Amino acid sequence: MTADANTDTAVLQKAVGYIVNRQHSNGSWAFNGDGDSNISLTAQAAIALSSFQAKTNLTSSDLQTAMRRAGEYLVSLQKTDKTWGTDEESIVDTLLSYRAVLNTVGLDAVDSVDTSILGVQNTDGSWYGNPYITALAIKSLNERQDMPNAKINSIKLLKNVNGTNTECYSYNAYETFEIQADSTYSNTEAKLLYFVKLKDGTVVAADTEGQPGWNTRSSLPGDYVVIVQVKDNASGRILTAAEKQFVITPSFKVGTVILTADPQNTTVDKPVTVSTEATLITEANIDKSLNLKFFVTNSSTVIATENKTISCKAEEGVNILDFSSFTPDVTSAKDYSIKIEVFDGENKISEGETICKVLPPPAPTRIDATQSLDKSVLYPGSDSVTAQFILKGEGVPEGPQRNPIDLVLLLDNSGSMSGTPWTKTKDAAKVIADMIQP
Amino acid sequence: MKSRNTFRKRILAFITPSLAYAEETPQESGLVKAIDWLKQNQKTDGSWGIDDKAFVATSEVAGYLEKNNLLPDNLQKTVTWTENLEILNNDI
Repeated sequence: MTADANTDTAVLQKAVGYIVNRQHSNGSWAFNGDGDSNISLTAQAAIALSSFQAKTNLTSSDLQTAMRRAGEYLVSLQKTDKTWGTDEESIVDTLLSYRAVLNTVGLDAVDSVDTSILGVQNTDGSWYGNPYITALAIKSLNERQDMPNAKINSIKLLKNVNGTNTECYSYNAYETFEIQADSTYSNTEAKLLYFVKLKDGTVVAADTEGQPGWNTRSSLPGDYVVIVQVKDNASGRILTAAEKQFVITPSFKVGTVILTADPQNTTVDKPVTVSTEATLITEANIDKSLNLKFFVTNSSTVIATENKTISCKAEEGVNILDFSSFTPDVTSAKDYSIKIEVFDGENKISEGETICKVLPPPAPTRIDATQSLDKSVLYPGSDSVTAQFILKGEGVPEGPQRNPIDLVLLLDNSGSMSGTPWTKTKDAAKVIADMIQP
Repeated sequence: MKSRNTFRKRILAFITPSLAYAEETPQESGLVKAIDWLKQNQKTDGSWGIDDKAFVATSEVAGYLEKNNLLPDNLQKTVTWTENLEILNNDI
């Protein structure tokens, strides 16, 4: 299908989606459902995916993962001579897998395979006198011809420390690194592809804001690998690939503690019940149980207290907890301090504080302003919050105070004022009379 | 032998344009021999392969030749063979 440049891309995408979904977790494909993995079918599926990618230039993390896994599955079944067998029964596996691995993992894994293929060519030019095998052999040998030279000289992982990039191969949770690959290639238009191979074998594109790099987020501690590939634009072949190991170390950090009181303020003689909520934002790749000490004080008198133990899950970076509510004394103006202390065992690792105020009685005439947000936490990436401000006038406005005056209006009613001038003069006099305060 | 040499050059020019007149690598020699074998071993009806394998073998060979614009005369015969294929109903 992919041989025809005019085939509808949407149809191809659907087919590719089907193929990717049918892949077994070990990277292989089988003729029926969960049946036995089949080498030549796996190779053909990988070739089809790679061909789709080269022709349409469409790709995704799922597609990259499927291809890389298929390639690695095939590599895991290589015999000592790097082939998948060269007798008449198994040569088809070798001919197809050779191409599949070239397209997904790269040349290094199958460097000597073309020599093995040529080694079993008959003197008449065929392979086993079989036109099908011969055609596949020709395709395989062709795949390697004119393959441009490419080399990756080094891969560096760089961590930004105070504005300076430093080489680093050990990272905590939620740390970002940049990937710098030094490569040379000739005679071709090629691009560099960057991946991180996760612990479960999944390959994800390594990209942070368009730059080659990765953020460890809550990925489990352990050994990880950065894979850099040089991919020939025209043919889709992986010209070369290299790997660099790095380690994610177990780490747990409470990034921020946000305490909110609702309502945040009240005024004298307005009794309220204040409810409190704590939001813990963690940057972690391990689960951890934390002790939280919560207390409300008013000038060093503790009026409410509560202890809680929570288990923070690494993959849930945000923990929201309700604490006991309290009723402030509203007979006079005062401040209540609401505090939370976060303990890992005996060690205090973070704390948060907010103030709830009982305000003095407000002026009888005023504008009350209240504000509210429809959520208290924004998540990384795209998120939004709606803020509402309500302004409300209270009391009756007093008129401006003036000094008392004696006012005498003297109107000219002579002949020259007749008509419009006299009408206007009377209107003006009425306006002045209306402005007189009792 | 003249036509044989021309054929050889065409195959080589296709495989490695820059090396068409240079010394052949083992891969190139192998390819030339193999494509020549296919040319010689096409059946008179235009197909390749035997019995129930003929369809798979022929489509693999013809697909490759067509894509790379090789052996056009042989391909013409394959088209005729394909057009005369009897479509078997494999429903059970």
